[in-house]
Amino acid sequence: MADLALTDVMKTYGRGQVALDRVSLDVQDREFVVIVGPSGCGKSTTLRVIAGIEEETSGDIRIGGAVVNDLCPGARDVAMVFQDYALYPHMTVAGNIGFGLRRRGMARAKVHERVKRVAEVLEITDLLDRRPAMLSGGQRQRVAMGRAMVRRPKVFLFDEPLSNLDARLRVSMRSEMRRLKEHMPTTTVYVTHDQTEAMTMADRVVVMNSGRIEQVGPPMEIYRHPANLFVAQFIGSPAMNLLDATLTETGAEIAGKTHIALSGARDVGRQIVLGFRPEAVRPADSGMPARVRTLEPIGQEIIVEFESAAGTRISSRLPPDTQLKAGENVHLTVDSACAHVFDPRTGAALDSSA
Amino acid sequence: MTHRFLRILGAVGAACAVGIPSSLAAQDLITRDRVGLPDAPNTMTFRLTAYDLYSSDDATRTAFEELFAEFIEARPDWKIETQIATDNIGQEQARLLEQARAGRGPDCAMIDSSQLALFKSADVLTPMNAHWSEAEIDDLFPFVREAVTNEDGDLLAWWWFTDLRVLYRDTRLVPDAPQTWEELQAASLATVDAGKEGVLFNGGRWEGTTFDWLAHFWAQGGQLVDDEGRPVFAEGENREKFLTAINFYKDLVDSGAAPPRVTSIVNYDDFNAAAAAGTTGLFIGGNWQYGQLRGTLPVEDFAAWEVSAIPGPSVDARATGTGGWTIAAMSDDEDAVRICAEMIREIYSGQSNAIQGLLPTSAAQYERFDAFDGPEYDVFAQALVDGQARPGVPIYPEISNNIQILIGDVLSGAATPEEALDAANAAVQAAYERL
Amino acid sequence: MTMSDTPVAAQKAPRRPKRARPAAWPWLAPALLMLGAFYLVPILDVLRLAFGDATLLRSVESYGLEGIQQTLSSPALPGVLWVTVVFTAASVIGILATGMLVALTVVRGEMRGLWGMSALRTVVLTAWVVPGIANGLIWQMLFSEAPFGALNSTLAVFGIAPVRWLSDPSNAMVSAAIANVWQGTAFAMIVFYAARKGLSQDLYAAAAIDGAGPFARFLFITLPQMRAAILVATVLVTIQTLNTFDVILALTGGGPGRATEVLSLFTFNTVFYNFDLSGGSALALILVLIALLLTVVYIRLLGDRPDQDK
Repeated sequence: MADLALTDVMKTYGRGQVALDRVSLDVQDREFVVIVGPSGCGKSTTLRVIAGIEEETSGDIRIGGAVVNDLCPGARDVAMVFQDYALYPHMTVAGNIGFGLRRRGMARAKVHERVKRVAEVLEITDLLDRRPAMLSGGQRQRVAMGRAMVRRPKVFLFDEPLSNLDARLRVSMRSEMRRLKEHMPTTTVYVTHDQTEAMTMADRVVVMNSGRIEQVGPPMEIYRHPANLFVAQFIGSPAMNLLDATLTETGAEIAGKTHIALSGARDVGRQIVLGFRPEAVRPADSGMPARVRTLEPIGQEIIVEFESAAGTRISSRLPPDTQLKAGENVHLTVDSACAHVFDPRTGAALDSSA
Repeated sequence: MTHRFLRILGAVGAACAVGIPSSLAAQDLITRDRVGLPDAPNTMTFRLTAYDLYSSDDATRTAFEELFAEFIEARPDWKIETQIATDNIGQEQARLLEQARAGRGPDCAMIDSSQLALFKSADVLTPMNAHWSEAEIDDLFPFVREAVTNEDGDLLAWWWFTDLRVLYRDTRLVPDAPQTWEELQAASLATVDAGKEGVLFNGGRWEGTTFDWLAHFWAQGGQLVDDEGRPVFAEGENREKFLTAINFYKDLVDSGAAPPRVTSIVNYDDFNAAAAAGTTGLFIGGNWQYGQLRGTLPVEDFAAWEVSAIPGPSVDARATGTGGWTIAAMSDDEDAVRICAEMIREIYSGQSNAIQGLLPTSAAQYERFDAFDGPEYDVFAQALVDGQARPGVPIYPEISNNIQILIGDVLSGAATPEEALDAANAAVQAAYERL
Repeated sequence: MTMSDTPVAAQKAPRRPKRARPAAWPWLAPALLMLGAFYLVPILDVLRLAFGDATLLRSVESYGLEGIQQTLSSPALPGVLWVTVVFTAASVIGILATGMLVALTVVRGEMRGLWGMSALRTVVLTAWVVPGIANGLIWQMLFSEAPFGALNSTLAVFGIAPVRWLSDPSNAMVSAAIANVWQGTAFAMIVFYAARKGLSQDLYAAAAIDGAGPFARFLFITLPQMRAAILVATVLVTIQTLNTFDVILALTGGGPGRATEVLSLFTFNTVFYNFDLSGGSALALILVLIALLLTVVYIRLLGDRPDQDK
C-alpha cells in the first residue's frame, strides 16, 4: 500500500510531439483515481509511464515516497490490466496468474496457494487449467484482474479494462470492480474514455486533454463545477449547453434579447460563454424563443433538442409526461443557480458562475 | 525431326520469296541464337561455348563475328542456329551426351577433349573423313590423332586447340628452370627462404588437381587404365609409380616447399593472383596463363616470368597433361555434317587459334600463323611432344574424383598415401563394375 | 476484435461433409494434373531408376536391389553421412540462432526508431538472393589462405596467425557452415521477423510488469509464442541445407579429401562423375527419407501443443 505522485512529468516523441505536458498528480494511499479523456489525450501514456513501460522525458514518479523513474517495470511493484488483457496464450489460467509470483522467486506451492485464493475471489476456480483461447471475454477479463491482484502490488493500473466487453457485461463488471475495490482497497489508477465508469467508480476523477490535466476532483464536483469549457463539455450527457452572452448589471444577455439573472460581481459588457446543463433548462411562458427539433423519450425522461432563434442547439432533460411536438415554438427559461460562466478566450470558468 | 520440318517450311518460304531482292549486309546476320538469315531454307544447329562468337571480350567477339559473317554469306541458303553451353562443363557435357543418345542433340557441338571418349563409346558421332585428307590427319600430334579417330580409322571429331601445363617461375628468384623433382623442391625452398609461399599447384577438389598431378604419374610411365579401359592405377608397377608421385607432393608440403593451402586451391586464377601479389615465385599452371600474366603484371615483372616443362623424376622422364576442345558432328544429314566440317575448317582450326592464342593441334599450323612466333610457343610446342591426354574412358571422371579426394586426404594428413590409394581404388573399381 | 461471452470451446465446430462432393473433382483436376506432372512423375522416375541399373550412358537394362545395396555399402557413405550430419546441424543451429538474433535486433531497433534497421534487413536479404555458387566464390575469396587472403590479412593486422580456413579438414567444415549460415540467415530472419512483428507488445509489457527480465521475456514469451514459426523455419532450413551443394561445390568442391562432401554433393558426384544414374537416384531417395524423418521428429518435438491462440 502506498501513495503515488507524479511531478511535472513530460513525455515527448521524436519530432517534438508532446504526449504529456507537465502532468502532476497526487494519488493517496488506497485512493481510486480515474483518468478520463478523449482518445489521444495522454491518459494511457500516463499509465504506461507510471508502469515503466514507457520512459518519461522529464519529471518524477514516486511510489510510496520513493522516486521510481529508473526502476524497470518489474521492480516498481505495480500491476496492470490491459485493454486486450495481454494474457499469455501458451499458459494456463493458473500459469498466467502465477507468472509474476514465479518470476519473483516465490515457491511453487505458495504460488499455487495464492492463485487458488484469488481464483476463489474472482470465481474462476474451474477455469484454472484452461488456456486463454478457451475463455470468453468476461472470463479473460477476470483472469487479467486475477493476475494483477495476486501480486498484492502497491499500485493497480487499469487501461480501459472494460472497453472490450459488450454493454450488458460492462455494467455487471463495473459493479464487480466496485466490490473488489471494497474487498481489497489499493491505490489505483484507472484509465477510461467512458465517463460513466469515471463517475461511478472514482474517488477522484482526473480529466485529461491534449496531454494536460484539465481538472482533478471528486466526480460530482467535476460535474457541478467544471473548471473550464473542455471539462464542461466532456463530462455529462447530453453535453452542457453553451451560448455566447454578454454580462449585464444583473446577469447575462443572450443574443441581445433574453436575459438571465446571475448573482455576484461582474464586468458589465464583457463577452462570456454561458453554460447550463440540460436539466437546468425547461419551457416556460416567457424567455428565450426556441423551436422544438427532436424528442428522444428514454423512459424515465425525455431528451428534447431545441433550436434558438440564433440557430444554437439547446438540449433539455424533461419529465416523461412533457407535451411537446417537433416544430412547436416555445420559450425557454434557465435555472440561473445552475448557470456557468466561462471566458470565451481561455475557456476558464469565471468566479461569477457560482 | 524439328529442323527437317523447318527446312521444308524454309524451302516453301524461299520459293515464295523468289524475285524479291534482298541484301545480306543490310540485315543483322548474327544474333544471340542464330548466324545467317532467319528465312534461310537450311539449318544447322551448333552447341558452342561462350568463349568465342559470344565472348564477353569485345575484340574476340568482333573477330569471330567477321569470320562467321563471311562464312554464312558464302552460303546464303544456310543458317546456323547457335546454342550456348553453360560454364558448368561436366554437367553440360553429360546433358549433351544424354540429348545426343536420345536423338535430340544438335547437328554439331563442341566437346571437351576429356569427354570425347564418352561420346565415341556412346556411338553418337558422325564420321567426317570426307572433309579432311589423310595427310592432314597424320599431321596431328600423336595424342590428338589417337583421340579423334576410332579403330576403323574414322575421323569422329576435330580437336581444334589444345593446352598443356608448364612450370612458371620468377627468374629473379629462380634463375634456372628446375628440371627434376629434386631441383623443384630445392628451388621452392629457396623461394620460401626469400619470404615467398613456395611452389603452388592445384590440390583442392576439382579436375585441375588431378590433371596437373597426372604429369608426375605419367612421367614415370604410369597408366590409369589398361587397353580395355579397366582402371589399373593401383596394380603392379602402376601402384609404385602412383605412390611415388603422391609422395613427391606430400614431401613438397611436409618440407614446406609448398604451402598447406594447396589443398584449397581449385582455380588456376589463384596463381595469377599470387604472381600479381608477388607472394610466389613458382607455380604449375596452364599455357594460357602466360597471356593472362602479360595482361596482369607490370611490364618489368612480366619480363621476369618464364615457362619451362614440368620437372620429372629425372631430366628425361617428363610429361604434361593436355586438354582443349573438339568439335564433332552428330547429325544424320550429310549436308549438315558438311557445313559443320567446313565451319571447323574455315573458322576454328587455325584462324581461331591465332585470334585467341590457343595452341594448334598440328605442327604445321604453328608455322602458318605469325601469332605463334613468341619464345614461349617454342617451349609449348616442345613440351607437347611429351603431351599426354587423359584416358578417353567413361571411368575417367570417377578416377579423377578419387584422385582429388586422395590428394586432399594425403596433403592434409587425414590419410597415408597407401590408405588413400586403397580407398580410391576400391571406390573406382566399384564404380567401374556399375558402369 | 470483439468477443462474445460464449466460451469458444463450447461452440460446436461446423460439421464438415464426410466426403468431398463429386462436383469438386473438375475443379481439383487441373491442380492435381500439374502436381502429378511436375512432382509425382519425377519422384516415381527416381524410384524406378533407384531400383534399376541405369547410367548416364545407357538406360535401365534390369531391375533389382543390387544397385541400392551397392550404394548403401559404399565405403565412402558413412563418412559422407557424418559430414552431412555435422554440416546440417551446424548450419541449422547457426541459421536459426543468427536469424532470430537479427530479427529481434531489427524489431527492437525499429521500435526504438533506431536508424539503419531497414538497411540491416536489406543487407541480410541481399545475401539471400546471391546464388549459391556466387556465395561460395565470395567466401572462397574471404577464406583464401594466400598471404593476401581477405580474412587472414585482416587477422594479421591484429597480430593473429593465419587460419587454415579451407585446407584443414575440420576448419573447412566450419567455413562451409559459416558460408551457408551467412546465406541462409535471411530466410530464418524473414520468418522470425514476421512472427515477432505479429506478437502483441502488451504481452511484453505485461511480462515486464510481472517482473520478467529481457532473457525471461525471450524464454517465456518470445520462444513459446514463436513456436510455430520456429517449427516451420527449422523444417524448411533443414531441408534446404540437406539439399545444399552449390555453396560447397564452389567453396571447397567437397574437399580437402571428403571433409566437406555432404550427401547432396556425393549424389551429384555419383551421377556426374561416376555417371551412375541409379546409384544417384538411390542416394536421392535416402536424402528424401532423411528429410521426411527429420520433419516428423521436429513436429513431434515442437508442434505437439494443440491449442495455440494464433
